[in-house]
Amino acid sequence: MAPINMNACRLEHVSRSYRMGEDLVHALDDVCAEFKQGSFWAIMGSSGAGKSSLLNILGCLDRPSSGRYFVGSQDITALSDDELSQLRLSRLGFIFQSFHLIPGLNVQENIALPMFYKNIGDDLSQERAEELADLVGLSDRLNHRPNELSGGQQQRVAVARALANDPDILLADEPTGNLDSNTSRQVMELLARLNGQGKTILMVTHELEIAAYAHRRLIMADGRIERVE
Amino acid sequence: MQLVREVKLGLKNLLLHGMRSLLTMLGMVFGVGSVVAMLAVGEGASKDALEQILLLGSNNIIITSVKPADGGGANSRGTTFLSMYGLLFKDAERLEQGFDTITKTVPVRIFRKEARVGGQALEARVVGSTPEWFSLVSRPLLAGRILLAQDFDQGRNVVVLTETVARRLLVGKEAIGSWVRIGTNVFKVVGVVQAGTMRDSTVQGLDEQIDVYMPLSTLRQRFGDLVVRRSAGSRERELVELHQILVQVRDINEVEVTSRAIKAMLARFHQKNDYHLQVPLALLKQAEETKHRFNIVLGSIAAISLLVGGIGIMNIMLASVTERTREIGIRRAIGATRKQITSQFLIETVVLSTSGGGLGLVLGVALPWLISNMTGIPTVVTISSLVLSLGISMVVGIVFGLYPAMRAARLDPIHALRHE
Ligand SMILES: Nc1ncnc2c1ncn2[C@@H]1O[C@H](COP(=O)(O)OP(=O)(O)OP(=O)(O)O)[C@@H](O)[C@H]1O
Ligand SMILES: [Mg+2]
Repeated sequence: MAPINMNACRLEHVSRSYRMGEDLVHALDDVCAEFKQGSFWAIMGSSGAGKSSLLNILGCLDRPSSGRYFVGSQDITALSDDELSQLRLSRLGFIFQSFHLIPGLNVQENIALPMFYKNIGDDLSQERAEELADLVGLSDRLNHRPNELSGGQQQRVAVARALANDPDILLADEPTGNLDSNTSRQVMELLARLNGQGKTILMVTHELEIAAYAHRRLIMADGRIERVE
Repeated sequence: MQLVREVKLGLKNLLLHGMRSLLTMLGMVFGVGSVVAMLAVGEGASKDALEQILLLGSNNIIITSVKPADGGGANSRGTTFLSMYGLLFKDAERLEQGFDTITKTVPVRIFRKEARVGGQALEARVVGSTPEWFSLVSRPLLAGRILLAQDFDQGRNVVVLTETVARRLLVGKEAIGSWVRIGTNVFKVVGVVQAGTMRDSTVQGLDEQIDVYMPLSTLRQRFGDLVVRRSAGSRERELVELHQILVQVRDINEVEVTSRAIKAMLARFHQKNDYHLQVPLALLKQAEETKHRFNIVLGSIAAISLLVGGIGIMNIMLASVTERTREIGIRRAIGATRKQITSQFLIETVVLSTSGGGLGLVLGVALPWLISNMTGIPTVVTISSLVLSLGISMVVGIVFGLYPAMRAARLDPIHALRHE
């Protein structure tokens, strides 16, 4: 176990701007933040505040236009595309608002996909996929296609997939945005349980009830951090 | 290991869109199928030609008398013509003695005459030659013996029949020892041989089914050198000393030089162009040249059809990349590298094109089989053509899959994820 109070990740004066024709849109503007290991954050703010932009950088899907970003103690600014992929594969897990399962693959294959890219043997990855399906309460749906599942079930598959390579950090962009309040609660309880087992969770949400599951809040406005609670 | 899994994944993706995959493959299927089939037909034809030529012997040169255009200086006397032309006994002697490179010279006289045994009759082709004839022309012995040197030296009244003649004239009789009447003479049958196996007689004189062989000396004694032919009320008389001279050359490399020397010699002694030289080796080279050209034409057709097939595949793969943009985004977000995305799409394309090629092979094997069975045209499907077409369909997959695969890999993950 890593020592308590170590940073899971850290932003140093991170800016991200997009060029829109003549104009420069500043999605993130000089953001500094630290996320401790094992913490559970809700990232909030009005639409267009830069929450998704922030999460993309935290998830190493995007690079800062300026500033530096560390995952653990590793500066990712200097990493190549392949090294970033490797980092996402092993240390980060994504959960999306619209689930983003692969339609052609069944539940077990979707969960096992990150292990496929990590070149883990078929037997081992199948076994682990079954374990994870059991963890999210879907062991009886292993051979179903995503379109045969409800929204809540799909999101639980997505959580299981995010856990496949046992990452340190889970990133969730409005994970309950497409779910009703009942299934939202199931998914949030699952995330809270994972947080209890030591995963760092960084979650974007609009809803206060959902944010209540988190321990910390980071409120954004206009690409800047307005408040940290 | 990873490759096996990716191929499995590719196959799965193809089966997911079965109908579409099949339609996409169609170009490859027909491309490869037609190439394999055409190769088989071409190979069959050239093998046939080569066999026929080889039967003539690649060391041999065949000189045949040809009636010149003006009828050989025919002396017109009423309704009777006398044409004199062709090879002379003297020519055979000159060939025998004047050339170091010639190991055998076999003079041949040929004419048609009725052969009769009791009530059975047949217009046979009587071939008179020397003992060496049988060593140059393949006539497997079926019964009795072939003609021997004594038969020639003593001018015996003996003949060897081909199987066909024996069957027609000597139904239900013991062939060996029977007597056959040809013209006004009777001859004793001493042997039966199998006739030549060549189907079409591009080379006159070697492939007759209805041959009767006798010693040249006997033939000259009994029938003389004058051949009388009746045609449309007039009688045509021909004086031809030798209808053919077969020459065997010592070494295959000397065939060309020898044939040129023979031509020069004949040109010196013949005023008219009343002979014709056939060099099987030259025919062989010509056949190979023809085959080579055929292959070039075939290769071009193959290249075009595979190009069309490949473009069809590329088109569908590009559409597939667009359609699966979100999937690509998901895979990238999970941690797939650009290389892994490239190889996924590349392998999918190769699996597609190779499956198409495989189906094409089935078609390409079935088609020649049908052609052979229905028309009798010989076809030969060679293993190398199968391996080649399968290899080429793989290469087509790689070439035409590379661009779509690289486009897939270059997609920005965030954009791709947002794609509807
Ligand atoms: N690819 C892009 N190109 C140009 N501008 C962009 C791009 N992505 C985001 N932006 C801009 O950056 C700003 C922040 O966008 P972002 O998606 O981070 O907001 P958000 O807080 O996630 O909003 P929402 O709550 O609606 O999801 C917005 O003004 C947006 O228009
Ligand atoms: Mg957003």
